[in-house]
Amino acid sequence: MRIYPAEFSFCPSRRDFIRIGMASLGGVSLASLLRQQSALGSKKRDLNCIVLFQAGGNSQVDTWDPKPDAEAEIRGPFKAIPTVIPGIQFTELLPESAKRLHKYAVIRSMYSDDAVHESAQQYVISGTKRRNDLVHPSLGSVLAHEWGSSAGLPPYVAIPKNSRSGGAGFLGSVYDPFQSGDPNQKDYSVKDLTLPLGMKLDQARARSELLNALDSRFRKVESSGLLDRMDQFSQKAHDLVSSPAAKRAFNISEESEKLRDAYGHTTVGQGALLARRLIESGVRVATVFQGGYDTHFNNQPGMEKVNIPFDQAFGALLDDLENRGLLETTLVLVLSEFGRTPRINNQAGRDHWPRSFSVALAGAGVSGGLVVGSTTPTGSDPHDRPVSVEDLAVTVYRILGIDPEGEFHAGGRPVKIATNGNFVHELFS
Amino acid sequence: MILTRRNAQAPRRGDIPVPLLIADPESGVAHPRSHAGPRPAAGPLRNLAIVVPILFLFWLNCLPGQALALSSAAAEAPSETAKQIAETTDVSQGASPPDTSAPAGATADLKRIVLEPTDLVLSHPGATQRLVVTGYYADGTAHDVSLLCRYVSSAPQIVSISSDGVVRALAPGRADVEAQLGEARSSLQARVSDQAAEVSINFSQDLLSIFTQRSCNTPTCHGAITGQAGFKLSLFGYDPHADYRMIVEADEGRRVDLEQPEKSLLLMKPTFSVPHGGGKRLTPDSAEYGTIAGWLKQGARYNSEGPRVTDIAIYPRERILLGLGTTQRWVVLGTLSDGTTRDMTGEVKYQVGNDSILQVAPEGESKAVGRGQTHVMVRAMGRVAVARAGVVDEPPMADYPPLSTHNFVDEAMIRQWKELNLVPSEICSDEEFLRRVYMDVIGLLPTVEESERFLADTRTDKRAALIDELLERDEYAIYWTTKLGDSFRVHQTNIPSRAQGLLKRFIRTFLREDRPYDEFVQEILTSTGDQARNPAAMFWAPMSNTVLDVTNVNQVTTTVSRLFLGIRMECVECHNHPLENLTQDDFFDLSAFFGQLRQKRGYETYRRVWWLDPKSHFVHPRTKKPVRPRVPFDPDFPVRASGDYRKDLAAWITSPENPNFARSIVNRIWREYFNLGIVEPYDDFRTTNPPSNEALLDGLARHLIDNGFRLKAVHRAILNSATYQRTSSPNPQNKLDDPRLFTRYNIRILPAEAMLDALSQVTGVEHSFQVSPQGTRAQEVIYPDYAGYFLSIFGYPERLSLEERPKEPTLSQALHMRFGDTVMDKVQSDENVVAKLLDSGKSDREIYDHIFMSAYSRQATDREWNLASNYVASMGSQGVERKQILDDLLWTVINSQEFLVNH
Repeated sequence: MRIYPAEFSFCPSRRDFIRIGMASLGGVSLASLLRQQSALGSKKRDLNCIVLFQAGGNSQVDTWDPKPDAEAEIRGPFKAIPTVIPGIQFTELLPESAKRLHKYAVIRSMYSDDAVHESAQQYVISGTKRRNDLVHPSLGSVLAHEWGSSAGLPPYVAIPKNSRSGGAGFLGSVYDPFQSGDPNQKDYSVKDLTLPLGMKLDQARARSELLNALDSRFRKVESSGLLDRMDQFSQKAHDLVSSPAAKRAFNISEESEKLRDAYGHTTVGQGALLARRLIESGVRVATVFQGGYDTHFNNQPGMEKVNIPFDQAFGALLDDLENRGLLETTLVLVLSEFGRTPRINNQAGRDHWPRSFSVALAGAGVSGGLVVGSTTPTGSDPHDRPVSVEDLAVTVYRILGIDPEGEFHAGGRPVKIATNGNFVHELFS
Repeated sequence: MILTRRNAQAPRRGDIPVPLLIADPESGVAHPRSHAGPRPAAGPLRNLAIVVPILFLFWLNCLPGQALALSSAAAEAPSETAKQIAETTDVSQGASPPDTSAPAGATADLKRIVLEPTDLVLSHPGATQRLVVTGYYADGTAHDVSLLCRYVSSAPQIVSISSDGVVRALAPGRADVEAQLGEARSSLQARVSDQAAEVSINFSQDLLSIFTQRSCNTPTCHGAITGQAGFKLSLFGYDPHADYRMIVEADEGRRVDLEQPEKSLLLMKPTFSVPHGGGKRLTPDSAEYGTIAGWLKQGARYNSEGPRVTDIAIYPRERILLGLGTTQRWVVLGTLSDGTTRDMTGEVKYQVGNDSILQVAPEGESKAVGRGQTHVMVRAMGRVAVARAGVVDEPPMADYPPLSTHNFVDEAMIRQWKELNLVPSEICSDEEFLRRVYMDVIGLLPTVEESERFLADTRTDKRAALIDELLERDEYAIYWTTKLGDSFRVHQTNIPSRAQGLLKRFIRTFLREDRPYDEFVQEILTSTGDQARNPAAMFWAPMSNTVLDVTNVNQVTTTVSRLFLGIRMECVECHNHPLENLTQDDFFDLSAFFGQLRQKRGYETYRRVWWLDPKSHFVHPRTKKPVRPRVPFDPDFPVRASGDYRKDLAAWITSPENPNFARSIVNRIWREYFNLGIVEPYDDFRTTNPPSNEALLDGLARHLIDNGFRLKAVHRAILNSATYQRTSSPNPQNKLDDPRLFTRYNIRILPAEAMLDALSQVTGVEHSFQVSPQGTRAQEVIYPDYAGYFLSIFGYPERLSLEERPKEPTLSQALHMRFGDTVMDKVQSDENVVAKLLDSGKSDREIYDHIFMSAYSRQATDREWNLASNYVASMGSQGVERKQILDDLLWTVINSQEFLVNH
């Protein structure tokens, strides 16, 4: 028997949420209803998804959910600043995000019950609790499975590399992300898409032909579906390497210096830029993993080190997507596996805190300028409108036009894409 | 297999539209023989071919709504029709009527018939029971002859029998029923009692499982803390009394209508006869609807006192059907707690393991649609039963080729192949065997010297000698430690690196010394203490939160049952198993064995201490009372009243009497050699997931037990079998055989570590791992965290859960093998095998032959060398350096499929 988290005692039907500065409070206007319907009902084949994953657990109190009136050990070192939406404050770590809150929504009342990085990450990014027997596929892998690739590019790319949690689980490694490498590295070029130094295309082609001749002899005596699938991947690999478009998609140096500066010369900055570039080229899901949020010691410099580059990257990404008309069709998610303890510990750090944390969503029809839910005065627990990891997953899949109740068959039984969650309709108000 | 529901193109009677499951023709194309259709058959078949349409029409008459089981009027009416049609058909074809004496051709080769079920206790006058008769013929085939037999009752005033094999009780008493076909006879005993009791339907057992299966009591539905729309159920039915009160008593009992059960809200809501926020959850023709309605009819009681179904059985237990389109009747007999039997043929839910082979209609009539072997599973009232079914398109071959039989493994396989008309691939060449057995046993390719020595060896027993030699090598223990390491989840997250080395050494020693497996598992299951001193105790670490010092008992239970019994109990953690005779309470009973296990930090972080707290108990989450440990699969097994309960559990698990312990480990070993278990998934033993070859599984398990649980004995038996030594290359007949029938070696990609080690070996360039000394092989790396990109893309597992290693190829693999730094650093190295051979003055051909022998354990053919030498010449003429050209040849070899797979 599972133990049910205390959060279940919150009445899930409460629909209070902070919604200031727009239309009516608590009510849903016709316009927003139409927008929600069109966002949910439209042809979803064209949607994309970018995930900025704050690996290690971002401190909610130091970023999206400041507690300026709390005591110093909770409030922390960062001052609260206003956002473009009157009445809503972030901390001074997120000035660029604060300026653009009208473009996205924040959920402050997320909660989880898993305090171990690996499993908590996997929980948040798959929407399903870690199980003993099955590894649930990540969001990106499910999308890769449902959407497939386009333009000869891999459907799902992890930047700079895959985390433990971003994999395909029981869907099989076919749906694992392609890993880009760190685009912030000097002379970055994507892994394994370039011919060895000094090798001409002709030689490479002749070499491949010789390889094919070897394989065809083997295939004359052997027969297996596995070999057929290996053939398919060999062909794809060959196409990718000989495709100028694919290499161009990863060639971040084609972006203007000005834009690259705007994103910031950090892994998350250039990563977000590469994500946009890839989406534009035909990749469907790009996940940017940014580590360093695990600030058990010296919270202040730790938070500055990760959140300032994130803030710059997130702001630039929103602007850039909007300028290119991509924000309407691209869901941007800012996720973290859990929050951090509201009270600063005796090593000036904050520890793991799954009981409350914040996430942000932008694009694909999600309303801007709103904050869903709130936490208690210390930030320790959801106060209004608690949103579970399952709720978030169901919501994300529905926004992306995928039926969360869709089933995979794994380990001898049906497994739903995402279940036990309720759609967070406030995101479309 | 995608199935589409269509109207039958096949004959139909009257205007009744016949829904029929038909294999999608597109997917069927993959199996051309399965679409060959029934051939004109020889001997008995010719006559049976006439009967097939009759049976088919009979089936049409048994559609839902025209149940033939429960009332004999309904049973006999359609069969009469069927008989008439049968007679007409036969007359028109010039054959004799089937109900008087069987057609001459059918009886000519008939050896015997078997009537099933054999013992009937009909509960009351009016009760009926369907029978099935199997005819066994001289050519080795068996057929459903239920409709061909003549039936005789010894006491027609007590039991009558219709011409299509339905027994009907008329008065209390005893009678024998005999089926006759030609000279063959088979009989059964029937007793008619006068207890006209119905099967009682209980709330807690029967109704709650429906709510759970239909997701009514999940947290997002009525299982929410506040319920849903005023109707609240306990989550997954954990509080049956509260649920009963809610349904029967709350709100003035508005949810049940005992006068008109079908008007109850309890049925109207889920069928969406009235608006229901949860949508349509039940259809009125479903078995679940029938159960709920029956419960209401019986007075909606919490615990009825009437008889319960204690067991169900399906007949025949196994059957090979000859010819696509052949039909077979399945009969299900329920045994009730009052000692009576009941015809449940029409009440159970049928499921076929592979419905591209056989399709079953709700009344138990089935039809062969594809060649192969599968299982028919039935379940009702929490009980399950399974029959094996095969489909062949020709009678057993009279001229079946003689096959080598090395040991019991081959005997079991050949029996199955003959039965299913399968001819396996040839015994493989020495070259193929050599590379395969090295890779499978020690995870390494043979060196060029080893290959040359073996291929030149002329002894006839050289394969057996090589197997013995490999099993004694240290690399065997190292390689199989990586496999067991997956199960024990040896990983940094769970176990600090210093301790990991100790655990690996513990496993390695067990394998190298071939200590008895039962002893090893007992040591693990009863382990306590400082894990640095007793590495077996690290077994508990992955099921624990070492930050909070908490052991997750539920995970211990599921892990132990999966690893050592091959039983997945994850389902029963939350609710009674929908497919199996396992309940949630069974789960708690098993968990209770681990209720005393505690942990604490030792002298160092890596020296975690595991201990038993006699005062602590596993507490039932519902009753909040300590649970007394009990072996759910053997409730009478004695368990001590206090002390280390785990000792009793370990004794029970590892006992030779426990069928699953030996079977699960031999299945695991088999799966490593054949890529698929005899039970697959290999750790999911269930009545409803039966082995593909029971005799083989039992034979291996028996062999392990007879050899004192020493695993090398099982390795030896498998490796020395002709079955293992068959080539992966298909013959004209077995290309499309189910890989679970093992008619050839199943090709697989090399496992991550073996692949990297092979790459280093063939290129002659060692791999450097971040924190391991130079020369460390991938299989020996202690810290999997630092394994690197190559291993991760080839499926090195994270070991966070009991996941399977990915076995499928990926794009990342293809790209990295072709262009990645791991590979290029070796292929282009100035110290690689090409450079060394060039230095020693070898010719191009010699170098190419060396690479071939090293990578494939065989020599290059002249044709292969011609292709390569053309490349050498062409590149040479373009001015490419010789070293670089030969590096390219090396590149083609390590990127070829022959290198990347074990075959």
